[in-house]
Amino acid sequence: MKRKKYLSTIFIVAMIAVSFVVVFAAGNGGKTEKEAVIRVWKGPHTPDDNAVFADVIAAFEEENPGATVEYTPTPWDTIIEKYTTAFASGNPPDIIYAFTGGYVDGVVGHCYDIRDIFDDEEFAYLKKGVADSLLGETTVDGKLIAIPYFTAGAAFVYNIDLLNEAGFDRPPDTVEELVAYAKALTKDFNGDGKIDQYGYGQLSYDTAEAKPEFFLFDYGYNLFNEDMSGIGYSDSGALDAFKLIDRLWNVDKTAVPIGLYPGTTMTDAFFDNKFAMWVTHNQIVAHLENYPDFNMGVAKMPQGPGTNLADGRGTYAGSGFWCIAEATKHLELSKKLVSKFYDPMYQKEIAKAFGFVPSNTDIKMEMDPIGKAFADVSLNYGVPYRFGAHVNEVKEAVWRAMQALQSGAVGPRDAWEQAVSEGESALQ
Amino acid sequence: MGSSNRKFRSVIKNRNAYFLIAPNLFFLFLFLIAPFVWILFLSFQKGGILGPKVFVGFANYLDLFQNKLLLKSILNTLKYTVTVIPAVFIIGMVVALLLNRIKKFRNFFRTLLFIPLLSSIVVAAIIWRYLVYPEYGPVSKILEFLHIGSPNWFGDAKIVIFTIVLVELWRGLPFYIVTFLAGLQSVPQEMVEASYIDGANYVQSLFHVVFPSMKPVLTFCLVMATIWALQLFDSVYVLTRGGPSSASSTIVWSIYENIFFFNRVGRGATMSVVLILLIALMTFLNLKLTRFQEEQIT
Repeated sequence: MKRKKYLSTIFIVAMIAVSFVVVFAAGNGGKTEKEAVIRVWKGPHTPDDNAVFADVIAAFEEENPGATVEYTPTPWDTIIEKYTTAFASGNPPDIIYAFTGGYVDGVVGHCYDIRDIFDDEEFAYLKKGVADSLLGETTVDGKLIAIPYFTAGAAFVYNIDLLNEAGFDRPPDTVEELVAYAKALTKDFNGDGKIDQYGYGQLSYDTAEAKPEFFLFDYGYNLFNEDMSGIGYSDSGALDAFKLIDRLWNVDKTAVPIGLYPGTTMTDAFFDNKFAMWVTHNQIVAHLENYPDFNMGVAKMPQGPGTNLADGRGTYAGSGFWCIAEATKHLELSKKLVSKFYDPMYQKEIAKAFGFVPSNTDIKMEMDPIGKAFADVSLNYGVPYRFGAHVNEVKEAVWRAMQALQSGAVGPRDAWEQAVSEGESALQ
Repeated sequence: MGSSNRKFRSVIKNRNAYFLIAPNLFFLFLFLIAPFVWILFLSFQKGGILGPKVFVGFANYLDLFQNKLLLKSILNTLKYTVTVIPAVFIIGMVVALLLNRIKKFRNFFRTLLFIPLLSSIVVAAIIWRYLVYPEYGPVSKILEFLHIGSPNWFGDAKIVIFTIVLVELWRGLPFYIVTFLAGLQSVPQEMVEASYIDGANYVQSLFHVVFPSMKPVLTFCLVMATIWALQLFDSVYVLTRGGPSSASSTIVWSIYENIFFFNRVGRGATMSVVLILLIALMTFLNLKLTRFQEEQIT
């Protein structure tokens, strides 16, 4: 009996020990030490990003036997927490596609300064054709974490047919024209008091990226001051931007009410002719193949009085780029893969697939008129973001105030004061 | 001395049982207790997840009472909680009572009513987004047909939290219906019949016989409903992202936003501690209330 008890105790302890071993050894993934898996994470810009990168990855793997690239498109709506968690766990991907705009600000500081890991010749290769002035966008706390790879941005987008029907043969050129166009394009077709077509679209930070701060740009104000130490819209002149929002949403009621088309339904609404004009990212181009009869126009932003900033036509233009995580276990292979991405032959094809403009100006792109229009607006009127610990918090402060204004909960002055107060608190 | 010897001998005697629960205790410590201690520690710090942190004492807690956005998220959460809990109880109980009276096709209706619970809240939220879509959403069309007029479900700051209530009700109600139905079926029928014989009508029988008999089930549902309501996040994340203008920002959304978007781990950790305390307090009050009512009856 005693022996039975003793054996059962041994058996139970052994089971527990085996279960611990199974649980904690499970992460090995069955890979041998000689095989190197280079993990690359990037937010998707097409429905099938893997196909876009297939050639460059195949070429890299052929040149580096034993190395495998694991490319993972990371959905945009979870990109912040995914990247942050990965870096915080100490096991980030080897390479990430990062970009300005407040999304990955928390992690890019944990990527290598490329001047420390690439020699002069390698660095020169990466930087070929890229203007020195752009390097500020990929510098974080003095670290040059990458060379800009793409330039992408938003532009003023409009429904050509709806504008023509209203008697307009060109897009609005000034904010005064924008207000007038919006009035003419807002219609109640059956007289039931419900607006069936709005002149101007919605503001949002959803995937359509109709970024609210464009209104500030039009009046010559930015989210931050020059050195990012304070907000850039505390001057009372910025109140005019809020007055324009009030005019479109509350006075004339010619803009889509806030929240009416949440998330990606806003893009659907644009193609369904529910509104005629808005500002959106060039990713909208990917939707055009679903609407072959849709006549979309792309133009620069209607000019506001703030000509000191991008001639009053400022729009979002960010740089995308490749960074190598400091925690990578495959530094040499990661460097080779990044260099492969920057090979002009592959960079051009990838840019073409995404509708972006390579930051390497030596690469000449043949672009269709819409792609070229987006590129021209980004290059000529783009207001680049810079990295900062509280970029998102300030953006959110402005957005919250604009939402309160759009919904009519507060007037323009209260909204501007709220944005200033919360923006300043965010930087404390 | 004698009792500690007895305890030690008892542990040795039952050592197999302790060995078997040891892994569970280990994981309980690893995934519950250690993170809570870590969160408590972080609530006295200031900084980002990946950046350096500075010890700031109770500054985060003091900031909580002065930060309008954080207070708004607590208020929104409480608003949601006091709306959704009575709603699930009343509607759930009414449906359960109706189901209990049905003899034919009860299982069919029970299965039908259970279907929303099978979908994830993300799927449910996305479905609702299209249900209320202004142009072709069925809900909007029905309201239009009835000449009621469809509100701006996600854009009106005054009603957005109630839109979230509707989504969560649609998905969460089945759980309460099925649980209440099981509770109703466990009530001894002879007690109910005895109450009718004594002259009670249906409503009197419900409130004086049936519901008191269902006390354990009702208490459990009340506690769980409170905990789940205070932890609201999924549908806010999918549908509104806390907007418009923080009108649907809840405590958990605020924690998420502060940690991941605003790089303020200390503030997020503080909100987490506040949430834990709030849940503990509400659970304690719920249990106290039901025990008080029990004592009143006896």
